[in-house]
Amino acid sequence: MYALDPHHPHEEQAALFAAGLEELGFEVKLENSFEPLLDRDLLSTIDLIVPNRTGGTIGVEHLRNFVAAVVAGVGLAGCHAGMGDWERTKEPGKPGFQYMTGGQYVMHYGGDTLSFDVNVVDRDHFITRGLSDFRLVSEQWYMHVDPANHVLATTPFPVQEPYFPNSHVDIPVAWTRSLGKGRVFFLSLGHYVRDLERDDVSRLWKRGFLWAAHAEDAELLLKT
Amino acid sequence: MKTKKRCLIMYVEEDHVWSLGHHEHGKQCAMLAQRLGDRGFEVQVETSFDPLLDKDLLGSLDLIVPNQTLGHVDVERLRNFTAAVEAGVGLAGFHAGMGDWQRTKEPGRPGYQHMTGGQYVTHYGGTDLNFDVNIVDHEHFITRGMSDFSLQSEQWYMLVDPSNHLLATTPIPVKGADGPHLRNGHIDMPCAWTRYFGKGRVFFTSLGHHVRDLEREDVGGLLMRGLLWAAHAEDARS
Repeated sequence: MYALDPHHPHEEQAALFAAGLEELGFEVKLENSFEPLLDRDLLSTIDLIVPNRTGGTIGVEHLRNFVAAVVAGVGLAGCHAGMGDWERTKEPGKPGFQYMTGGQYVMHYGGDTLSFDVNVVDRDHFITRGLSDFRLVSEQWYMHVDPANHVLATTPFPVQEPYFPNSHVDIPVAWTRSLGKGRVFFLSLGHYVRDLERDDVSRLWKRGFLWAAHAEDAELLLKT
Repeated sequence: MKTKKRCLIMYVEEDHVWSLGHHEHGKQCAMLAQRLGDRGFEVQVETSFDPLLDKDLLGSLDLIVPNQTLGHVDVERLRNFTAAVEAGVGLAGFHAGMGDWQRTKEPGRPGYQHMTGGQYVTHYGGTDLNFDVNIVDHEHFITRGMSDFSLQSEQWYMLVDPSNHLLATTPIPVKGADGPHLRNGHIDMPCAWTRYFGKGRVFFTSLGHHVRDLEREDVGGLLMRGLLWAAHAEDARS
């Protein structure tokens, strides 16, 4: 599900995700709205939900159904703003969207063509096995994260005035987690379509999506 | 002769926002104002966040204590708030008053959570759950001499900034609090930290749901020393 936005090419990203998943043997339904969250019968038939929008919110019922579907076992996976920078509202006393995703965009510094490193910190996980550290020219996300996340990769933030007198910090860029029976994968990379098309980044999101959908055996179909 | 430290406490009663009435913000603020006054602070208590429009006032302060649940301030108030802390005004608070509001932000600019270093996600087990608080930095001014303790209150599950300097954590899971996050196994959730935002010192503790929590020597002392530290007033005596 995606929504159009001036900051990110969500339609192109979603088409790229769809094509990648179809190559891996998935049946993909692409929707330019979040209305499918009102269809519980549909939600109960799927293995993976990939949200893709920037900012904004969905209704209370949409969100409740979304959380319930993931807790019941539907996978949730996504990249950058599409999963990490929207639905900040929550119902008092109920788990919200960030409780599922395990993080939230806070800020980025240095514009959207900053050169930064991505360091793989778990080399044994299905998603990152065989992946080397790499460098990217894109947006480097500063995030708040759930300490319960299983961190796969981080990016170092330098000591930089005025915002980083807290000294060097490695901010997570890719992680897995569980919510109930659902598997969750998030990647903060992917500001540009060109980022998602790189071998290293596409390897991350494709394997992340497979893992969240309990479809690791489609690995054999991966080209990278 | 040292000039008096100046603190601005701003609160909004919760029922103005969501009709929840979970937190007694007025009572909490009166308690803090008195304790800071006892330590030589000049304290201004306001029942709105309009003082954030007064840049001259903000420039004269040593400490800001926000206290509301949910809701938000507008763009101009938020800009002045972050600018004041970045310029060196201390920011300190507890529980929802500092950790569960202002989730909106201006695109491309630092928002409220960038200052505070964390945000409330959820809590399980109600408001009278028995849980432990473990001191993880015994050397810091705020926690020196403190022992681990148990509390019967709300245990907060949060998203946090990895750059926070942790003072205390609380172990999850806890008996009596079930939830779909438990599949991720044992974690030590931060419940008190310090950090910097520009030149400003920031202190936060997620404890303090009940006024009775703040009346305890451990929780009340932790919060009080956090306020003093954020205001560069470690030498203040009652």
